[in-house]
Amino acid sequence: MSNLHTRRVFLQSGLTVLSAATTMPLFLQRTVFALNNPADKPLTQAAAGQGEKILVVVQLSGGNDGLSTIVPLDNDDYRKARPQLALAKDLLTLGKNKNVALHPSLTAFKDLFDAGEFALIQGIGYPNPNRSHFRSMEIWHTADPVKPPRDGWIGRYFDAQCQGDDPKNVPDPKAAVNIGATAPLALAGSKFAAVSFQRPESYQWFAGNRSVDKRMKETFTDVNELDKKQGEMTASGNATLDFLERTALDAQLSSDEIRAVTTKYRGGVTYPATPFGQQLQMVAQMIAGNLKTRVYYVSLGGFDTHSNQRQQHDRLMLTLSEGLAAFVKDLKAQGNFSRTLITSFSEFGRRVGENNSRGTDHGTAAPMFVMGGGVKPGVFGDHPSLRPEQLDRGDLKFHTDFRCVYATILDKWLTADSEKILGAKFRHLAIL
Amino acid sequence: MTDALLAPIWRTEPKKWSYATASHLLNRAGFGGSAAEVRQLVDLGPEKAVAYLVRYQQLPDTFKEITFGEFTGPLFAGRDEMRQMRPGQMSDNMRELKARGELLKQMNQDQRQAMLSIRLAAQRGKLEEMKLWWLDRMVRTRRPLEEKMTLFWHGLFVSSSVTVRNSYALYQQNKLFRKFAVGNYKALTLEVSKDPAMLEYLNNNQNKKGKPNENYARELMELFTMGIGNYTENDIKESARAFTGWTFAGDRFVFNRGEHDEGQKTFLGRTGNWDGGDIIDIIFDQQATPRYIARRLLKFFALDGASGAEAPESMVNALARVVVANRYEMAPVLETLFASTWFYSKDVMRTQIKSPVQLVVGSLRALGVNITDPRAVDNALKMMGQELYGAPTVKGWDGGRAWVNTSTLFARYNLPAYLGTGRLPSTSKKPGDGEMRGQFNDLATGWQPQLDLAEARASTTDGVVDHYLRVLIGNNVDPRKRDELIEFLNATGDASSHHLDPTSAEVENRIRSLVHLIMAMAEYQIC
Repeated sequence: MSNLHTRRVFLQSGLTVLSAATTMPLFLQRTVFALNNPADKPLTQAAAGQGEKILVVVQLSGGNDGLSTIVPLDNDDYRKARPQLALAKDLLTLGKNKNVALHPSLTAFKDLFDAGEFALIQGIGYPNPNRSHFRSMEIWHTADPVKPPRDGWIGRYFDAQCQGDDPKNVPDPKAAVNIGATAPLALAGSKFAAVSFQRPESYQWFAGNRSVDKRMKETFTDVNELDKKQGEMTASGNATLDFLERTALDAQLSSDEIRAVTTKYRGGVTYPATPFGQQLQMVAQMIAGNLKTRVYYVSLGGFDTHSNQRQQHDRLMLTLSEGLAAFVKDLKAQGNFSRTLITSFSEFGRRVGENNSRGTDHGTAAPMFVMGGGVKPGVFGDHPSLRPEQLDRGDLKFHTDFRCVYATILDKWLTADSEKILGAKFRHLAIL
Repeated sequence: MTDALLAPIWRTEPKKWSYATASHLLNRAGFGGSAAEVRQLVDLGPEKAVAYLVRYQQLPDTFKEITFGEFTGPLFAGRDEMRQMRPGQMSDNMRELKARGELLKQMNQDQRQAMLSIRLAAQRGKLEEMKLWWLDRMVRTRRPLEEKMTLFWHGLFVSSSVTVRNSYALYQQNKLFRKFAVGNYKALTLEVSKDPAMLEYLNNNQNKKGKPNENYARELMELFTMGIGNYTENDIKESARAFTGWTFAGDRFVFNRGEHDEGQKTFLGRTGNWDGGDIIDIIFDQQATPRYIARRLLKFFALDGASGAEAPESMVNALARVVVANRYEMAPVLETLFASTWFYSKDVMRTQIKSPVQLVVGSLRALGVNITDPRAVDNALKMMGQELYGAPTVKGWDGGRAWVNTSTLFARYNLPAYLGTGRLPSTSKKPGDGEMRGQFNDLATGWQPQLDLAEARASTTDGVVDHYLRVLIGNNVDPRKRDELIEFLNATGDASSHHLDPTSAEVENRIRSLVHLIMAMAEYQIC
């Protein structure tokens, strides 16, 4: 066991002490040195850079009702279609816009809009809209409405940073961090796999037996081959095993660092006690800790409001707004807001006409939001027409493909080649 | 007559039946088991072993029912509780409802809030009891396929306790799945369409003439029977009309004629005054339906895609033909699959990632212990991404590689700390301690390694390692890793064989940690 000693030093000391790393695999050396020495630029991937621009994706799961989020003003068709659900009172105005206003709880959006840090894009969708949650979510994640799902648009962005097939060129898995139990398809590349966790304090392996704790950790490293190179993990001849071992390696490498940064930073901002607020707080801690992460992914669920929509949706809007307000305040205090872009989406909007259960069924086009210090503010695109004869089987018609938003973010914010990642050229929007 | 692809293994490879193949069968058709259980299947031979698992009705069911006695009294009468009434209870409940009305009138806001809290806590408590009840069945049952198929249906016909805040309805649904475990898929689909928990979960209780709610109709086709691409949006709209008026009162299905749309509907090319039953008849006449269930069964029992491969189309078609030939009866379909040569091929064996339930139940069964801290197990399952009665979406659990990411993998590798060593990592922070540190609550699991080892006649360090590798992983381990484990157990820095005394507390401690280590290996995550 030639490099047993090295492995043990590595594991006991976390990711900080590694002068004896001469026998270490290249992949680990690169990662560890880059972490150790932020100034060591040649070893730091552009796709995983500290101090670089950051993208935060907020997924609203279940199909957010766009018509209760961005509310049409003075619109008879809206009132007729939504006798129970139409919103009219206490709406928040968007500057001088006469056509639409914000749900009364979305004060965070209002404040950002007034500060010139908020872009509303209306009428977003894709051709031949699919009204299945899962298929439509897949389409948003893969940015491909035709082919069966393979990998995600953000995963492909990280894949594109790889040079050739050399596994040591795969970006650090921490380049994308998902807060949650299951990693979204959007972050999955053919080579790249993101880090996922729910709570930093439980994001580690516990030896569990005090008296033999240290030796257990050593043996754990050895039997799980947490010292192998990514490209050398085919020896088992079992693809399932190889996948598990790769994931274990990613987990081990990211664990110490993420737990360190999330416990270190305590900003002065109080977050709401919602799970969504807690997710955003963790992201803020990681941004403050200057991880090399370029993309953070958080989710808020419960938008599938087939019945008694009002109360549920009001609560969700409040949760969304309160969480984002605290997050923005925190990032501004940190001085990181200008390098952060926040965008939110949902798999579809909802049917224009309400159903008989004071709810709404699956629909199509909906608005998207982009927030951050680098945003060109404003309302982009008109609200799709609500005239009954203008609807597509009772649903709004989209006029802007969501991949235009992706292309703009990829090219202008992440400075990538969107055509290569999305497989086609999509026009840029003036949001950045 | 069987398809060549599904030829039984006892005809094609009679000599292949071994500890490894029997263990594979018990893992896939059930939740694994002790070495003794595997040997029992080896001795039966493949044909009888498969029949033993599939034709389980001959074995007794000794489990007790859950009672819902605490859900009575004026405090509990009301809309939610109406649904929990058993037949014949209507009048009692009406009296209670009235009494509650009187009670409510006398209450102030705070008292009402307190009442609500008590009711919610009772529902939550019941749900926990139901989870433990089911897990305990899976651990101790003599009919493992019955519970495995109950879990299969639970993941196919999803209803979640997040939406359905009625533990009794979910309990009834669970019993329905068990009743039809290896029964008729079509008959079960009709029962599910009338099941109160499902009617509420997918809002069919709000599906009414003139203003249909499409939720159930859509998922019935997309996720429960045919799969996407085999129907149009218009078929969804039309079939939703056919299910109007299908609702429930109390805990029973009710057909509300006044809310049912009696008009003509055109569904999958056939026009008539269809109701829900007709829609199910038409769906089960489609070619897509046997193929869909064949694909789901193959994914669940054979190839979950974790190895990068899914069941080949030829196999889907072959199994779909068995489904058709048996008019959607599941027992002969499963029997054919479990007997097939393909099921024991290298493409299938040891390619699946254990579901969290499989991991937990399998671990308990392998060690021969019961659950002593239900909350620890429930939390662990949640962290691993599979909460019973709590599928994240109506699509159920994706399975395969989706079980594993960096977060769930730590949870999977940490669980044995509880199962193996009786110590549960807790993540509470010690006051004044800057760094988060795992602490361990001491719990007893009832597992006694000495008994295992006496039975296995293992008295040396390599013998002990081999015993547990065999029981837990089936000896499919790289010899270098085996050496690391022996070295750990020796505690002397070498990997040679040493005699050991399992009655010494220090040695027992190391054996417990050894089992934790084996369970924290990639090899233990697959089956």
